[in-house]
Amino acid sequence: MTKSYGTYFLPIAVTLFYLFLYIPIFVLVLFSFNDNAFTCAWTFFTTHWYEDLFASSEVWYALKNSLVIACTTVFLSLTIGSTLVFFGSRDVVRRLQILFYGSLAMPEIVLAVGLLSLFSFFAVPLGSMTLIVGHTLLGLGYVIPIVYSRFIELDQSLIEASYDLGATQRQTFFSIVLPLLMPALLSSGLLVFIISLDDFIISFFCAGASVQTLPLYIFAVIRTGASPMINALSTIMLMFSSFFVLLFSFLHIRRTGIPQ
Amino acid sequence: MKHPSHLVAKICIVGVIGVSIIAFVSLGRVTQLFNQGKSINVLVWGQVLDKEFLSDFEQETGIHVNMSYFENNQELFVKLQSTDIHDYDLIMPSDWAVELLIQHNLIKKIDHSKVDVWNNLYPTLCNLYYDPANEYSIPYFWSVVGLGVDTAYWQGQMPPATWGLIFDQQIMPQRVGSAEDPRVIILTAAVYLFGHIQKQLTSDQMSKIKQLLIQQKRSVEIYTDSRSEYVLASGVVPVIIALSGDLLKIMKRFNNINFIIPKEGAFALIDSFAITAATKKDDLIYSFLNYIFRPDVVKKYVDKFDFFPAVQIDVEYDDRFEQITKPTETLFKNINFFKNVVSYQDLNDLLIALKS
Amino acid sequence: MKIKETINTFIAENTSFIFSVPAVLWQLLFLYVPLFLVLYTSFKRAADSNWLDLTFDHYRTVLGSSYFFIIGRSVCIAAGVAFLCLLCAYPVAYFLALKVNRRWKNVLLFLLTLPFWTNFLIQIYSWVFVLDQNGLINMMLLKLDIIKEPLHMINNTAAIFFVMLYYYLPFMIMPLYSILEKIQYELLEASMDLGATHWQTFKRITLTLSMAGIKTGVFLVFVPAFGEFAIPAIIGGGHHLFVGSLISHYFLIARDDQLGAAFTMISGLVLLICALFFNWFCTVPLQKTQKESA
Repeated sequence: MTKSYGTYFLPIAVTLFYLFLYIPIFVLVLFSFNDNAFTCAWTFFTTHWYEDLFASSEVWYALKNSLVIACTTVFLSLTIGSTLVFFGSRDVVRRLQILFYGSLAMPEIVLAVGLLSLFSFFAVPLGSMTLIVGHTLLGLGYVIPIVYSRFIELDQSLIEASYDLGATQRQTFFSIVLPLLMPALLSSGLLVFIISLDDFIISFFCAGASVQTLPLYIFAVIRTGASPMINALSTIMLMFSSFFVLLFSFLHIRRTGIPQ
Repeated sequence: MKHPSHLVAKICIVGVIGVSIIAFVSLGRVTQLFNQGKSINVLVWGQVLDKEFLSDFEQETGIHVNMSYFENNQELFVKLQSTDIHDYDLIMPSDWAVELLIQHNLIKKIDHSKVDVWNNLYPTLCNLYYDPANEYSIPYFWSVVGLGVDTAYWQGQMPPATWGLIFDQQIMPQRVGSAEDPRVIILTAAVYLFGHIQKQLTSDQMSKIKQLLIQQKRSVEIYTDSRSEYVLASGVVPVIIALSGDLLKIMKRFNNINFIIPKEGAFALIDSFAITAATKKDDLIYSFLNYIFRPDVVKKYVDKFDFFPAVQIDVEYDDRFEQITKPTETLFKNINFFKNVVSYQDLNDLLIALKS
Repeated sequence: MKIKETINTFIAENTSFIFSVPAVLWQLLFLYVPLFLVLYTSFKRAADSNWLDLTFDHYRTVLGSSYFFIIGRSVCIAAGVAFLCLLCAYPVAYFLALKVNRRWKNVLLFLLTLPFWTNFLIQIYSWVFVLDQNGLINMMLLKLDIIKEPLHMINNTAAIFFVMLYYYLPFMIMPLYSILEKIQYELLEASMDLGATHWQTFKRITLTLSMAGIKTGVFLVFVPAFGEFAIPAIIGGGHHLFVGSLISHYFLIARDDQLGAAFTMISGLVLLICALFFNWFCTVPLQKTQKESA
């Protein structure tokens, strides 16, 4: 293969792309240390936004709610989704798959509007429970395809061998299938966790006044135009999530010996 | 399918699982019923109250206050109608919203003997068009809706006091800021074109307003309700429709920001406390109201959030603020309100025509 | 006991049914029933009218021309964003999948997904700092004397388009990357050994093999972009209504569920038509290239 100038095109384009991707992150972190809340002019360096952040009870309240809702959502999606995939009979599940693409095939706002109508119609009070329901709906749409595609890739002979050796369906599930499906479960669980934590549209419609989640709190602050406290919050969230992701990949490499 | 009883059993299972899902979803309501105890649910504006100075009250009376916040009056209606009324005991609607709430029987009469605040309130803020005897509402804070200006654009001079600053390109060739709420933009245009608003707007008036707004659109930089202070302070626009209460904070901080009461007429916006019709916790609510209207408590919140309270307290403001700090007779003589003079149909038509 | 035995056998014979029920019921109850409810609401005359009082009035209102401008604008922006995302993301995905060695691949992938971990609203909000009148770009350009007046880069439709492009890029890169990764590089080398140029190899082999990924990517971008309302709310300046903004206006502000439902249904229909069109459009060139090589 002859080296043409074309071989330099791609690396340069990709580098520019990554720089472009990180502009907001850079700006975010930079301005979390700027004292001025109103314009983008730099006044002086300060960490008081971080202090304000830690002192703010609303942020902790919103964060706590978001975490509780996210964890419950992950638990529900994984249980409901994986029981369907494993215990459901093969061709029934294959045909039912279509049913679950519904939540991905339409804009989230349509889902949110539908849920709001449902809850108003049956006079269900909006709150954490309704949010969890909405998020689980989204979550199922990710868990089921991911786990199912991993499941059909599994070596069926292992399962059959387990049955032949006398294990019940339940024993097979817990000792054989579950460990083999673990990577798919973990990755879809993580995905659902982020989606629930970050979800804005369904929360905006279905949270009511009593529940405040982190994205809703952030939207309320952004709406009124300023607070570098939000910058401070996201810098910290960024640090946490990169640490978390690094840790996760590290563990994965150690467990399987394969870089992901 | 082997036995017909299997079919019945399957249907039962579906039913059981379905019911348990529904029960799960309604868990919120159940916990709510258990939590009734000695607590009240209060729904207030986001930038005016919070729980910070309530600890004394909660300790003295043992009443737990659950505070929720909302950003605009329509949100208030939605929350009152879609969720169960039991959700809120005390709410904080604006004047025009009180009128609608009374019509829909969503708020109940206040027992004047139980609330000892009337002597402290500005008399100009009481007995107004929406609640002539204040049977349903107690005003808590008020604002003037006019124009926020950045005098740096006029080299430190004050610009002419007219709504033409945002509607007339010859007075202001630069891009300006406008409001997002259709009610506000329609009524400010109405005042600019026709003067003091007395009654329902005719369709002829509506079409003139529509024309003006569509023609104005090219010179509007941004339509916003909640970001007006930010946009003005950061110098994006030299003039914007704004509430005096919202501008207070930045006026204190930046000397070039000022507030104008246009000569065609400004608007007053009064936010009051109202008790929801369905609540059963009247006594708890009255003790909360008596606490929150105490002048020393009001002062604490005014210092924290910067707004203009309906309770008469002494606050130091410099000369720039003179016109807007007190609801004087002169100020309120010809002031307009955002009355319900536009039908919903017209509002919707105009919104779509303007922004499609 | 006989009852326990019958229960056990019943469970054993019907496990698949029993364990499929929760998932299916969940989906039905919270996705399909609500959609049906929205459809029903769109025909209802008003919130407090009799449940049998049905009308086409709301549809007649929504099929007015102004509404079509709103829907059309959302379609154009979503399609534009999807197309540009494809153009920008493809080289990056190609590079990552086929031209990078193992070690760098992980680092680059990690760096790629990291912005995904910041909250969506915050990512958008940060662009305000960059694009604003007194934002980063304008300040730099003014200081360097490249421009005299600040550029007007925010509170307009171009800004919405640009920020959407930024936000939806990862959604396009991921499916493209996963499908490009499966292509064996040896195939491409073989093709060039047999005398094909870079471009022919790309068109005949890489492109056709990655078609499924392209479809998924465009779909993953077009559908949410069509219903987007947070980005216009923060960056757009309120000049225009989009499908998402209008739906949220009807349901949360104007409290007109009936009109909102009718509008939602019409928008959904338009989305479906676009999706079917795109699907057809993808298969046509494929058939053409097959005829060419035959």
